[in-house]
Amino acid sequence: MSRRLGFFARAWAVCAKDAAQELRRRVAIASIFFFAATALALVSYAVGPFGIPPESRSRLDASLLWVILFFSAATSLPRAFVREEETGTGLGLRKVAPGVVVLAGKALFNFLLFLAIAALSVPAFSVLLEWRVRSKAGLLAVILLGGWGLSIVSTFLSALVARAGQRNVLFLVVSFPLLVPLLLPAIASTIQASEGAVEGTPLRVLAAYDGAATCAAYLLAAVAWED
Amino acid sequence: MASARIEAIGLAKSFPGCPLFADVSFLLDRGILAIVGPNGSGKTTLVKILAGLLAPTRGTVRVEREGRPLSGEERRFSVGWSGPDLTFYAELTARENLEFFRKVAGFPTFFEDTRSSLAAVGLGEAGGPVEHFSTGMKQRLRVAFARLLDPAVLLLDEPMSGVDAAGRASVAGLIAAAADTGPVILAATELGELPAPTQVIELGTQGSDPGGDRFTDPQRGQIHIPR
Repeated sequence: MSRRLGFFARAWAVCAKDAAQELRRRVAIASIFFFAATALALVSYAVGPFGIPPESRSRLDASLLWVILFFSAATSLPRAFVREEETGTGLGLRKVAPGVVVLAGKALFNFLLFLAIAALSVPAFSVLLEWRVRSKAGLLAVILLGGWGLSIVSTFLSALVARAGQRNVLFLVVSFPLLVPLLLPAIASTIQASEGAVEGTPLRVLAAYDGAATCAAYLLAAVAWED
Repeated sequence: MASARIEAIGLAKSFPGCPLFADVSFLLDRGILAIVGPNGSGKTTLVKILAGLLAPTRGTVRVEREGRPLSGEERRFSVGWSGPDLTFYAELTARENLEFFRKVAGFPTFFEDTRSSLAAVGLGEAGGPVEHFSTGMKQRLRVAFARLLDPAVLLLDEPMSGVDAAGRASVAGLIAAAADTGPVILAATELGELPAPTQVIELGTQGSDPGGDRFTDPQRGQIHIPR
C-alpha cells in the first residue's frame, strides 16, 4: 500500500468534506450569513438614535461586535458532530478515522467559517456604526485567537454531546461556562484594539485559553467521539 | 488479502437490562464464518464488536496479519466492515464518499482505484449524489466501503439486503474471492444465496419474542457449531 497521509492532510479531508456538504446544501450557509446581516442591521438601527459619538462607545461597540460574531457562528458550531450522528454517517467515520483527526478537521472548518463571517461582518459593522479601529493588527490577532478558541471548544462539545439525548440543550448548558471566559477577554482586547493598542493581560488570557482548550480537546477527542 | 486471522474469545454483550449473547468464541484464518439468528439476536452487535466499533461487555477480539497481532490504527484498517446502519454523505457522489473515507483513513486516492472499487460492485457508471441512490445501490456502496482499504479481514452484515439478482451475484463473487485468501465473516438472518460457510454461529432466539422471558437467560440459544 502507498505512503500514508499525515495528520493534517487527513484533518483537511474532513474540513473539505464539511465545506462541500455545506456549500451543496446552501441553506445552512445562507442562514448563517442572513443572521449576521440581520443582526448588523438591527444593531445599527438600535444604537443610532441614541446619538452617542463613536469615540464614546468603544465598549458598547466591542460587545455588540462579539454578540454578532458569536451568535452568527453559534448557528453552525454545535452541528459539527451532531449532524454526523443524526444522519448516521458517524459510524463509517469512526471506522476509518480516530477522533482526534475528525475533531481537528471539524474545528478547522468551524474556524474558517468563523473567519468568513468575521471578514464580512467586521467591515460592515465599521461602516454602519462608524466604528474606528486604531490597531487593525491587534483586532486581527483578537479575531484569530477568539475565533480559534470558539471553534475548538464548540467542536469538542459537539463531539461530547453528539450521542446524548437532549443534545441541543446539553450543548447550550455546557458551553455557557466554557465560552464566557473566552468572550470576556476577547471583548476586552477588542476595546483595546479600537482605542489604539492591544497589550497585556486580555490577549495573553485568550492565547492561554486557546492553548489549554486545544490540548484538552486533543487529549480527550477519543473519549468524546469513539465508543 | 494478506494472510490474517481473527479470534474471538468469550465475547459477551449486554445493554442495561438486555443481555444479548454470551461466551461467543471462534478462530478463523480463511473461509467464511456465518453468524445467523433471528431479528434482535445480536448479529449486528457482534459484528460491530468484531469490527472494533463497539466494546464487548466481556471477552476479547484478536486480529493478526502475517503472524503479527494488530492494534490501534492498524487494526482499524485491517478489518473491513459494512452494515445496514452504515450511511453515506447524501450530498456527495459515491466516488467522493469513497475518496473521502480513504483520505481520512490516511491513504492517498487514485481515480482508477476508486473507479475499479465501484465497478466491482456494479456502480462504475453511478454519478450523482448518493441521496438519489436506490436501496440496492446504497447496499452495493456499503460493500465497496468494506473493501476500501484492502482489509485482511472482511465483515459483512446482511450484504445481500435489498440487492437485485445481478448485484447478489457480484457480491457473492467478491465474498468467495475474499474467502479464498482470508477470513470473511457474514451476518445474515438467512444464508440464502451467500456462499457456503465453513463455520456457523447461531445466536439465540430470545430477541424474537419480546413478550417472553428474553432477559432472564442470556445463555439460552447460544449455539456454536464449528463445521
